[in-house]
Amino acid sequence: MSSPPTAHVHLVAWAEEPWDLEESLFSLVTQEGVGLTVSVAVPVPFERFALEACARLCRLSASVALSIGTPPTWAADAEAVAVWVAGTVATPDHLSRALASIGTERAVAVVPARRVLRRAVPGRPPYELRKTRRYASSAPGLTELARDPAFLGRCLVPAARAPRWVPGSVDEHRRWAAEAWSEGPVTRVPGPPAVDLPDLRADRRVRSVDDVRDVLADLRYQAPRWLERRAPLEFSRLRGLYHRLRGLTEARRD
Amino acid sequence: MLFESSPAELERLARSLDAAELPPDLQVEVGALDNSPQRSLQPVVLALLGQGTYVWTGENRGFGATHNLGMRDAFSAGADGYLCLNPDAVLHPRCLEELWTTATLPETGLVDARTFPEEHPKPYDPETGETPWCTGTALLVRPAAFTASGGFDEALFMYGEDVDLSWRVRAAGFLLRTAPGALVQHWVEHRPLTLERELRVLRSAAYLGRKWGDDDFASRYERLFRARAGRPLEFETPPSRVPAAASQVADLTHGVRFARSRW
Repeated sequence: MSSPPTAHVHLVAWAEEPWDLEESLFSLVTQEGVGLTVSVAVPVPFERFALEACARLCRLSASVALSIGTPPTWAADAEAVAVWVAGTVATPDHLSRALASIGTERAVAVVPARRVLRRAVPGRPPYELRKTRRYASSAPGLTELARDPAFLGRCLVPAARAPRWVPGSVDEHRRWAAEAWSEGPVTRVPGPPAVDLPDLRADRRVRSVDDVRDVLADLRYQAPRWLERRAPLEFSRLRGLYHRLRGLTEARRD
Repeated sequence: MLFESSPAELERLARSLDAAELPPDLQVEVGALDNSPQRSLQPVVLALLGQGTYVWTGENRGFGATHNLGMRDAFSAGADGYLCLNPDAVLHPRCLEELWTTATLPETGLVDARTFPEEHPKPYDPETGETPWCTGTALLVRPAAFTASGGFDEALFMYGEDVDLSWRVRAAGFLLRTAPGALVQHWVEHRPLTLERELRVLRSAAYLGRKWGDDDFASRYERLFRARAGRPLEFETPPSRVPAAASQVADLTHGVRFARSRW
């Protein structure tokens, strides 16, 4: 049996929010079909909690190695690398699917994502108020992506073209991404959103064309769900009609 | 409850049960109720569980009927709580402790864990955990709530039985809570919606509508069932309507989500 592909995820906590770290770690140790090295960088007063969380969660998986601190460079055996901000969570197949999308072109894989707006609750996990879908173009550029400070969580960079240094701060994330993006192609992983990013934007107003695209992408998802709840039979008929028309269009194109 | 579960899935679950951090006053006994057509999972389960128990039910009784069997046994043996747990779930190490801590809050009948990575969009009160209904993925039932409600409605084979139990437990005067710190990984969004599964959802929706006094709601899903199945919907056991006073707790204004959706 061949061994699974390997990746290194550097998890950065910018704030002392225990549940953000706990959830990101839980998401990482339950990734399927991938061998993982996870390094965890946290503010110094938070290190003891992070150590305990790693000890607690590493028992869930035999194929994840967890360590505290920022390593000087990426794990030597990693085929691809990612940087997550604490609070980022992904579907269990996210990393294996993203790895498969890198291909021989060594493209940076960018997955569709949602923004999660949360409210802090003292002593408890943050309460999730809203999840909204983000627009993703076929080859997402940094202007489109970097409006989310935690945007690297939805990207997987082939180790061969990843800058060797490991980023920590928001500015370092942007600088590191600029270096990685300049080295070759970027591809969008097909499918529904696989990553939820904490919404850490300071300004959430709609200001650019990209913001409008995000609003429309979310509306495109929510409107059918709304109709499905209000009028399930009519929704089912419209869905059938949509699929028939799409089938006709595709048949004509072929 | 098992039904032709994969050994890899069971190993993942067993590993998470092994990793559970429990308070000293909480004793947990693990039992597997297997609805598979053969006993072939028995050696796998016993090897994984160590001291746990394995019961082969001999037929696929459905979610509710199987857990009713488990709850009757557990509560008659003096258990203070019973956790309905899906075999394709993975518990966070603190999940059981968080569930139990929440279950001991006053007037609590049911507690559900927070599903991960896709949290259920139904709301809960971030301070008290109170929620309009509890999902069945990892659902802790207190004995008094079981006694007052009689357990799951066994006419619901799959889907909606957790909603129905929740409403009956609420109607009996208990509170339902979500334990936000109790994470349970249960990822099903990637599974295709087969016609069989869709029809089960529609059947359960129509059943709940009839049972909880909203005939318009039931008719909408009966019509959709007919359109999708090509035949009218018939219930083996027709739902008996709950008293009007009890039906106040039901919310059928949000389709099959049964509560306001946060997203």
